[in-house]
Amino acid sequence: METSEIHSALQHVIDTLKVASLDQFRIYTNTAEIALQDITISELPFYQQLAHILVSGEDLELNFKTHFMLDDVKSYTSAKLKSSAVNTNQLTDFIKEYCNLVAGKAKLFLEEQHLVVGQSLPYAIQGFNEMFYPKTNGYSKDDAWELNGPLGSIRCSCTIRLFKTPAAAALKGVQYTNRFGQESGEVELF
Amino acid sequence: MAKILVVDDSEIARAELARPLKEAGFDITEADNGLAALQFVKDGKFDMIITDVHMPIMNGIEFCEALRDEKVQNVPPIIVVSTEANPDMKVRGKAAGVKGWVIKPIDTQKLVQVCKKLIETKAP
Repeated sequence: METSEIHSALQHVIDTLKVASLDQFRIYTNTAEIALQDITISELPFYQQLAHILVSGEDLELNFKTHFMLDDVKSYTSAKLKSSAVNTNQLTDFIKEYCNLVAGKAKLFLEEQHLVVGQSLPYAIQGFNEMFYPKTNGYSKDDAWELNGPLGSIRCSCTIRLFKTPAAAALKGVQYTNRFGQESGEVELF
Repeated sequence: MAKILVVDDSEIARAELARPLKEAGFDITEADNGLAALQFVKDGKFDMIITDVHMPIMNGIEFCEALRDEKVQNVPPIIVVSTEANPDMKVRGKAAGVKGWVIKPIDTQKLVQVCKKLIETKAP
């Protein structure tokens, strides 16, 4: 596969992740009026907090990060907890759980293409965008976007790295179906 | 009053599950990982367990497997509420005694109905 095709496949995964992140934020906050706006990676370092989750396997790794100011998620968290008094732990927990939801959908759409991946636990730290881990070999792509809502905005970014190029063909098939406004999943009884 | 153990490492997720269940009249105990939940089950009697999968210390599937492997008495029906949708994980859960599985985000009112049904079915 040509390099340009591999980059196109990686961008397709990121674009699918963007759609999933928007839909999941709408569902999670029960807010229809949230819009996605593309931004550049260089616009990221000015946020107070960062939450990160990793979806990875032998073929690829996908880092999903959320960059946010505590004040921007206060109203959403208050609404979720039905309490006006929320502390910092609850604010970061709110975003960590959001990362968990998005990663779960990413894991699902990759597994649907028969790519074996696992997902980490989310964590949140105070600080800027740079994550200190060794850069691996292979093809990679970054992107960033903002989710703007009536109660506040968060920024998201993603880095995807492909370790085994044959997997790029499978990545072209990933897809996500919007769920906001639809019936939630039924309990599957065994 | 029927007792339900809610297990999730996220306080937000636990609150989201616990609130409608309390409103429906259930007595809720919360645990933030599988190991803590295991101790709760050994020490007390519950009518139902709702657990996440991805948690630190001991995950939800390991918790269910520990209940089975340690032959803990009077284990109530278990429902998994998680982002995890992997069929192999469901098979592991089912083998460990999980009775139901729902993928987050969930409709809490539907979950309340399922809890009522499972608890009524279990009642002598």
